[in-house]
Amino acid sequence: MDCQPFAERLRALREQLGTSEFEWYPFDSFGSYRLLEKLPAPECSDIRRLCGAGPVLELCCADGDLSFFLESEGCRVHAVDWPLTNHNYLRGFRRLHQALGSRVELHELDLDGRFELPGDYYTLAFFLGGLYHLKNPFYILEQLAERSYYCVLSTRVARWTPDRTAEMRAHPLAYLAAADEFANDDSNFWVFSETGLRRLLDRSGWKVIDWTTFGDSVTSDPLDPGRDERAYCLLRSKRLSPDARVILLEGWHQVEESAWRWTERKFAVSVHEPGAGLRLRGLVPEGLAPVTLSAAFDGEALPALNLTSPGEFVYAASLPQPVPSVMRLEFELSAAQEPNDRDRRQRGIIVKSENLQMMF
Amino acid sequence: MPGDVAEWIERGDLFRQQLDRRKAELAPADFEWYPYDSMGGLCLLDPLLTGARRRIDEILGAGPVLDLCCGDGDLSFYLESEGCQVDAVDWPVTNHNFLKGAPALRDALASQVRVSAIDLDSRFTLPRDQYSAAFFFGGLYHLKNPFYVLETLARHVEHCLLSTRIARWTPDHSLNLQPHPLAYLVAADELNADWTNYWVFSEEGLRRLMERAGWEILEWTTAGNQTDSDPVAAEHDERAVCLLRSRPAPRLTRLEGWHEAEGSGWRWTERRFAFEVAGAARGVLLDATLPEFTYARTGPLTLRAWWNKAPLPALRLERAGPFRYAARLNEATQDPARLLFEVDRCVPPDETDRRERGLIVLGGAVSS
Repeated sequence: MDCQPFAERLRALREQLGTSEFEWYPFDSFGSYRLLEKLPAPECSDIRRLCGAGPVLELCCADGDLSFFLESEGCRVHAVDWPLTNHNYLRGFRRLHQALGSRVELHELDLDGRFELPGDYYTLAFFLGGLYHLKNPFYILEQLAERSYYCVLSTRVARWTPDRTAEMRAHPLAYLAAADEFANDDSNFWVFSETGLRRLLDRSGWKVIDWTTFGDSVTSDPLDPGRDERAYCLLRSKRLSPDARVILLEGWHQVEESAWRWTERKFAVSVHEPGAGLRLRGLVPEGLAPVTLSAAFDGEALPALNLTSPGEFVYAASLPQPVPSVMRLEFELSAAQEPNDRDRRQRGIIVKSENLQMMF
Repeated sequence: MPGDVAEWIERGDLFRQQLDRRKAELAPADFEWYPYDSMGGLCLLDPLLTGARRRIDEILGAGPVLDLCCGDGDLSFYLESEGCQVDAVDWPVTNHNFLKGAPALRDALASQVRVSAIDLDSRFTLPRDQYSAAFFFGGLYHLKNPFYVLETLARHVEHCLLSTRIARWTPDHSLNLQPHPLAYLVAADELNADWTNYWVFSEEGLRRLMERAGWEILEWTTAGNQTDSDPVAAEHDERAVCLLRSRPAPRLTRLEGWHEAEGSGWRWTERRFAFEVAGAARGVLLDATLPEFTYARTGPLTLRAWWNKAPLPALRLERAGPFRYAARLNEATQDPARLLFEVDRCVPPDETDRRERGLIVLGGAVSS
């Protein structure tokens, strides 16, 4: 999706609107977006496909340029920012929103406070230039990993401490800026080393699909404007199925550290635009086998699978055609481990997020 | 309660011995007591506290007292035995016996300690609004979001006694962390093979975190390996122990220009209305409505604001309906400071209502 024509349109619109009441966000909001298409991962060559049926989320949206562009390309967009940290208290966004007759949903959320992302699920989230403004980067990244299948993220990284006595790059470190240290802007907090950012992403539920840095790639530090380096990456949630059409419903426990989940005895998913069949790869724990896994699609029974021993298994089934655009798949085990002193949850099988797929 | 901390620690040791005997008598069949000495950290307070701050009763204040990451609640029960009202907090998923130990002891001791299951890595609410003191020993490095927890505590707790692991070196001892404000993020299997470990700070990193999260460090010491500590090796374990005092959160108080609260608490304002702001406020949010009633008589309005007489950005209200006014605030030259709002037109008193009416304000808030 070429953003240049739309960027030109917005520039002209800003000139036409003018304003004496506030200053437009002064930086190029499309700069990071243009880099996305230069990443080598195949996913990056077709942003439209990544956006899928949407909705798409843009965090720290500034005047909303990217959100409005995505909308112009047919995406349903939720834009998020917080007036106290937005350059013009979101007046720029509102002015453009009105002038464009846009239907982009603006949500005023303090990402360091108590917030709930507005959508249940997103196909793609853009989080460009916002992470180092947050006090709690782990929290927002975990929240996103629970809701968004993919994320495009950019943030400042540093190879050295500001006094250049310590090379941070190879270690999983984060530098905490003082309130008056970072261009006298007290809204800056954590600047990560590359290793630190990668570890943070891993522990908060993301797999790095593609990664590059731009800016000062030799002597970058957390503070100096002349030694600014940015990491730019495409991430895929380890907590959600990579098949963006599959949404977990009831019967799934919280994701565990390495992106797997216990199910309960009964568990369900909803599938948008289902294909010809489904494949579920799971793990039968010690002590549960023999057990039978049965499945039903919108109430219609699918073949059952007898699991006679502990260990990995694959359940595969064809779906009766034609299928509706949204369907509900229910699974049921003939037995489960009941809650006990060590674990108060009912536990059926173990499923890794990437192991539940729909087949075309 | 004894005044000097040394005596208080000694009494704590006696209490622990009694508690250990009680635990042995109870001998629960369905869970195991927390196997470590959760009151062992108290001995660190002796070298920490100096001068007038050795008076532990003054630190604990009038209560209530909060015990975070309480384990089986040993410290909470000791504090209660010393006359404190105590809330004990832990999270079953990470507690050694799924938080069965603390309620069992509470029942056995006929204690009034309130035991709450709270996930400190969620956007949690503390059991009470205000505490005179909190104990937070050995919990910070188990949190994903230490900033949030420390900020939340700073809004609700006056004094905090905290200990956490710190590190002078990276695990390979190639990089000296100590002089830099850094945090090391351990891998899931890197520290005691325990995935609940997250951030280990350098001393400078922890000090900066405290400062930015709203705390003043009153006392500070370290214990353990004070030469070549690192984030992961057992023999390179160093702990920081500190006494913290929270900086007051900024507060808004209405001054002139407000009418009585109506309905769910909203108020009509006059044309000019003002707040007093106490504490270090860095931003203000005002949630308000330009009512159709006003708009029909005034048309579009401009809302102007001043922070101690310095103008803040104005907001043009082109149509009736709800809006939010937001502005960042420079450091005030006086405390309390004055925040004044004014709309350029309003509805004057008339026969139906003798009040001057500008906007309807639903709420205001200042942030630090």
